[in-house]
Amino acid sequence: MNQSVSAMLAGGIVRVLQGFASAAPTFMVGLLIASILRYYLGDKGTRRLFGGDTIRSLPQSWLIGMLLPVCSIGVLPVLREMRRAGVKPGAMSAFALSAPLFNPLSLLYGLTLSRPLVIILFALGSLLIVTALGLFWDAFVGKSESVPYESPDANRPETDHLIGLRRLLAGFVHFAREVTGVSFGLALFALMGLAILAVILPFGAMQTSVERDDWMAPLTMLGVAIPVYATPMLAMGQLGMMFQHANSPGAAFTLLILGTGMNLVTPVWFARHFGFKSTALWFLTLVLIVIGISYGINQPLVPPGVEPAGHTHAFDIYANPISAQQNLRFESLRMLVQKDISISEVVAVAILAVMALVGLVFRGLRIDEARLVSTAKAGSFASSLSSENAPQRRGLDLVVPPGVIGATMLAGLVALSGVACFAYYPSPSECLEEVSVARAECLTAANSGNVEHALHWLPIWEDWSRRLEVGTFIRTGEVRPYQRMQGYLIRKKLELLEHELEHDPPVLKHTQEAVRQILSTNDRWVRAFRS
Amino acid sequence: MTPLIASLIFAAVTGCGSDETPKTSLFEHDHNVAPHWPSSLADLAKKLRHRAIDHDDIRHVHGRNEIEDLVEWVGEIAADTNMSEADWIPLYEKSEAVSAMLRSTKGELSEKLVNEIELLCQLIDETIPKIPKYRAVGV
Repeated sequence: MNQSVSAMLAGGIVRVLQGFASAAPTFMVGLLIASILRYYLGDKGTRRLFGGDTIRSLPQSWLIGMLLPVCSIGVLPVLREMRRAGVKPGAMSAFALSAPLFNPLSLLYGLTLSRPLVIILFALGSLLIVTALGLFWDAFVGKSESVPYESPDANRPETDHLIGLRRLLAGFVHFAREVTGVSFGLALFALMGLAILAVILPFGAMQTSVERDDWMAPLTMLGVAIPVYATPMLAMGQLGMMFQHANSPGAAFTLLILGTGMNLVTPVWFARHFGFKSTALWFLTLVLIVIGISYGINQPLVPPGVEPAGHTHAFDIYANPISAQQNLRFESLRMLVQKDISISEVVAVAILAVMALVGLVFRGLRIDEARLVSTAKAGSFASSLSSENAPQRRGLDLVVPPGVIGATMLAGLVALSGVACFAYYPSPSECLEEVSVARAECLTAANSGNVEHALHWLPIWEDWSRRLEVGTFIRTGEVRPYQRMQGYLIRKKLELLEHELEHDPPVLKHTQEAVRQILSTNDRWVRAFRS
Repeated sequence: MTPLIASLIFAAVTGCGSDETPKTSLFEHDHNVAPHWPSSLADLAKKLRHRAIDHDDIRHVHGRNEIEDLVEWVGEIAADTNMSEADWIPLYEKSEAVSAMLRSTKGELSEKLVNEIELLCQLIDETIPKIPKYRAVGV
C-alpha cells in the first residue's frame, strides 16, 4: 500500500462525501417512511404492515422492502420505527436486508443489463436468504437470550393520538429532528465504511480481484462488501459490468446481498438492540448462507460466450479515488466529489440541509412530539371525534382512519417511484439526443488528445446507452435482440476507447482507431433504436 | 466487531497484495482476447468448420469449449457488420438454437449437432454476400 497518509485521508473524506450525496435521496425517503409509520400507521398498523405474528411476516416484509425505494442507510430510520412498534426481529431483518436490494428503478435497470433470469434468480435468492434467516432468528436466536425480546415501548399505554394538521406538523417535526438526530448519526457511521475502504485500498486495487476463474473471488468480495455502502442503482450497474466482463457471479451475489443489502451500521444496530450474541449468530448464519450460495452459483451462472476481460473498473468506486499522480489540491478534490453527483442528489442534499437547519431550530426551541401533544387543544386529538360535543359530519366531511392515510401515503411512494422510472428513463428519442451530445464531446476530445474531457463524457455516453434500453423497454414492452446486441457492442467499444485513453501516455493513433470503430458501431446502434 | 475486523483483514490483503510494483501506467492489463476470436464472419465459419466438422480428432473437451464460444459469438460478430437487422435475425436465432443444443449435451458432438453446426455455417456463407460494404451515415 504505497499511498501517502494525506492521500488516504483525503480519499476517505471524498468517498464519505460522495456516499452521502448518493444516499441523500433514499435517506430522505427513509425518514419520510419512518414519520408515516409513526404518526399514521401507528404501532398496530406498522406491525400489521409487516405481517404481525403470522407466518407470512417474512415474505411480506421482503415484499414491502422490494417495493419501497430505500437504500441500506434509508432503511435505518424505518428500522427504528419498526423496533418501536414491536415488529418481530425476524421480520425486521427480512426488511433490512431486502429493502436496499431492489426498487422499481434498479430492477428495470437490471432486467435490461444483465441476463434477466439472473436478476430474477438473485431477487428470489434474497427471498430465500431473508426467510431462512428470519425463521432461524425467531425460532432459535431469540429464545437463546435470557430475557425474552420485548420492545422498549411494549408497555406504552394506548394513548389518544393527534389528528389533522397538528399530526402533519408532528411528522414534519419528527423528520426535521431526525435529520439532526440519531438517524443522521447512524448514516454517518455507515458511510465510515467507505472511508475505511478508501484508506486501505489504493487506487485501482480492485480491478483484478474478482475474476471468474479466481476461486477466492467471493471471499475477497466478502471482505469488501461488509463495510461497503452501495445504492441499489450502483449495485445493479456493477452487476451488469460484472457480467459483461465475466467476473465471478458468486462475487456479484455476495456484493449484492452484503454490500448493498447492509452496511457497517446494520449488524451494530441489531447488536445494540437485540444483544451481541444473537446478532453474531444471525450475522454468521447470513455470511455462511451467502458464501454457500455464491460458490454454488459461481460456475453455473457464468454467462456463456463472455470472455474474461482480465480486469474491471466496476469497483474503482470503493478504492481510494486519488491516484499516485494526482495532486491533493482542494480544487481537484472538490471536482472529484462533484463530478458524479446527479441533479436528484443535489436536490436531496439541499432539502436535507434545509430540514437540518429547521431541525436545529426545533431542538433549540425544544419543540418535539411531547411538546406538540402537551400544547394541543382537545380538537386535535382523535378522541374529539367521538365525544358528545363532536360536530356532526355531513357530506364528504369524513373521518379517514389514520391507517388508510398511512397506507395511501406508502402506496403513493411506491407509485411515485414507478412514475420516476419514466422520468429517469426518458423516451428513446430523448435519450438519443443526449447520446449525440455526449458522443460529440467524447469523440472530439479523444481525437484531439484531450484525455480528461473524453474520459469525463465517456461514462455519460455509456449511462445514456443503458437508459436508452430501459426507456425503450418500459414504453414498448421489449428490447429487440438486435437492439440489445448493438447496445452491447457500443459499450464494448466504449470500454476499449476508455482503455486506450487510460494508457500512460495515451497513443493518439490507437485512440483514433478506437474512435473510428466506435463510429461505425454507433451508426448501427442508433439506427436500431430509431427503426 | 468481529465482522469488521475480518473484513478489514480481507480488504487489507486485497489492497496490499495488488500494489507490489510502482505504477507507471493507470492501465496495466490489456483485454484478454481469446486466441480463437475470429477476425470476421467468414473467419468464424472457417474456424467452426475446422473444429466441429473437418477434424474428428480435435473434438475433445478443449475443442468443444471453443466450438461453444464460436457459436455464441455468431450474433456479436454478425451485428458488428453492416448486415441489416432482417438478415441478422435468422443468423442469431440459428446460433442461439445451436448454442442451446450444445449446452444441453456434453462430451463428443453427436451427428445431429455436427449437422446443425454445418447448417449454421452455410447460413453464414449465404448471409455474407448480402452485407453492404457501406451504410448511409449521418444519424
